[in-house]
Amino acid sequence: MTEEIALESIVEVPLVGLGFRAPFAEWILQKPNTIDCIELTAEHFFDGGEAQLEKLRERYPISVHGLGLSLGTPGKLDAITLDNFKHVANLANARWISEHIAFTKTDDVDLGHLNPVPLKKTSLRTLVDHSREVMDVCQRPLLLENITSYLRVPEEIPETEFINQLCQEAGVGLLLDVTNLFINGQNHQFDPLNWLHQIEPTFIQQLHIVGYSFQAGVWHDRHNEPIQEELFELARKVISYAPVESIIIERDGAFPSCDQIENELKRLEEICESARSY
Amino acid sequence: MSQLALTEILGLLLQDSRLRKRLAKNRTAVMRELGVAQEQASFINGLNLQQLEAQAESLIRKRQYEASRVIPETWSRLGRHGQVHFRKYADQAPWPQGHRRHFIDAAMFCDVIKSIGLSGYLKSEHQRVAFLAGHQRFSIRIVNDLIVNKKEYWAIQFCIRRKETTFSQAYHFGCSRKRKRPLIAGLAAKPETSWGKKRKSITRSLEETDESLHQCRGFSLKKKRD
Repeated sequence: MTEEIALESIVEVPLVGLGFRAPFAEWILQKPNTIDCIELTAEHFFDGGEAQLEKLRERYPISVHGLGLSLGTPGKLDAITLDNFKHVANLANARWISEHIAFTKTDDVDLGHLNPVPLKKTSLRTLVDHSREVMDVCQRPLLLENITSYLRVPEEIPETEFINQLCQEAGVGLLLDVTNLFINGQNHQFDPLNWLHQIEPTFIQQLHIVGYSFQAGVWHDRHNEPIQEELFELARKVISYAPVESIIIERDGAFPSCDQIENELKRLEEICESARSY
Repeated sequence: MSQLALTEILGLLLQDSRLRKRLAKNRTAVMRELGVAQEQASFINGLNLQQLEAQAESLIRKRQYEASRVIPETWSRLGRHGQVHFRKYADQAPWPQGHRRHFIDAAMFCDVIKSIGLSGYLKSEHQRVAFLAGHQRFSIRIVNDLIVNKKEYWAIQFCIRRKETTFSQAYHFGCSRKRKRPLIAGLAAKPETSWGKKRKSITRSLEETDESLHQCRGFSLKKKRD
């Protein structure tokens, strides 16, 4: 038997992992079999944590995710934040780094969270330049993530085309947040699959997923719910469509037991296998 | 007046509720006031004001959520007054900058509720969050309102910023305020979750292929399953 059969049974599936958060820290450091990789939030390590990073680096492939570089803001990037970001990426020996297609501040105001950039050529230029600068400074590949927003900005360039051009011109990949895509689709009445199929599949390198919240007729991205069935299904379709390398559960609140997270990781593993077993 | 970028205009609109109200009443006047260029006008005119308001509201909610997470007992004691007072505070105080913004914000909010003498104020939590917002490596203080299992305690509060881990810790040693029961607690160090059960091992091999800078296709890190 069966050499042929054995060969056919090999499938490449994305790594399945978890965002590193305090309530899961001890469990993650035990290196459970269900966790293939880890994503760190850079800002969580700006004040130290070198020993913890070293332990993580010994156990997992790591990606480093940023929140505060505000790549969509025209002008210079904040040098201190970028320097700190680079330091964490180096300590973690990050396989890649990631940020958002968004702005969090301007020269005048700091909004503290992610906001959509105007989908215009000027914003595209800003994002391309800043992405290249981040890669030059950090000397690592960069992925950019789609955000969720209650505000749908007027589109001079359609969002999917904007993302394709951004990835192409800056040489970055897309960190596709499945939950954000689903939420935006629901709140702004568009079909997430239609949106997905307008994105060049080879750009999609990593996925984020976490349960959505629904309140008063609006979908929210609060990172504090278990992953719902529609999201698993959407993730399966994305993994079938694109050569995704890893998928990360991004839980930030109402932390469940490690057993519950483990069940979600196993479910994602099954989804990855079924999506790639064609 | 130099021309503002669209992100700057959007930022101002998202931050300033009065500006949004004026925009809703008279879009042209606000655009003139902000010096919106002709090529930017279609963007501003195309903004859905209801969605803009929802986005601005989400920012303040996120800010409030982040602050409430680091002072959970105070927030719980403030009840519905918490949100009212936080919004008044946030309306006056811009969001602090930097990666410790949530701690700084919560500490500043505690300053405010202390100054107006709100009954939900907790010195123990205020001091802990002020420590987290600052740069000290450790602090020792006496507190008289430490809450453990809904009971108040006198305690000596040790806050330590450990180099090896990213998570700061607070330890409390003291006794019950009412019953004089001994208390030794490492509150922040207490795990919030249970440990996972033992699982059967799964054979996997990780294979790293070419990684080339600036080329996302070089990220390959895939596992093969037999």
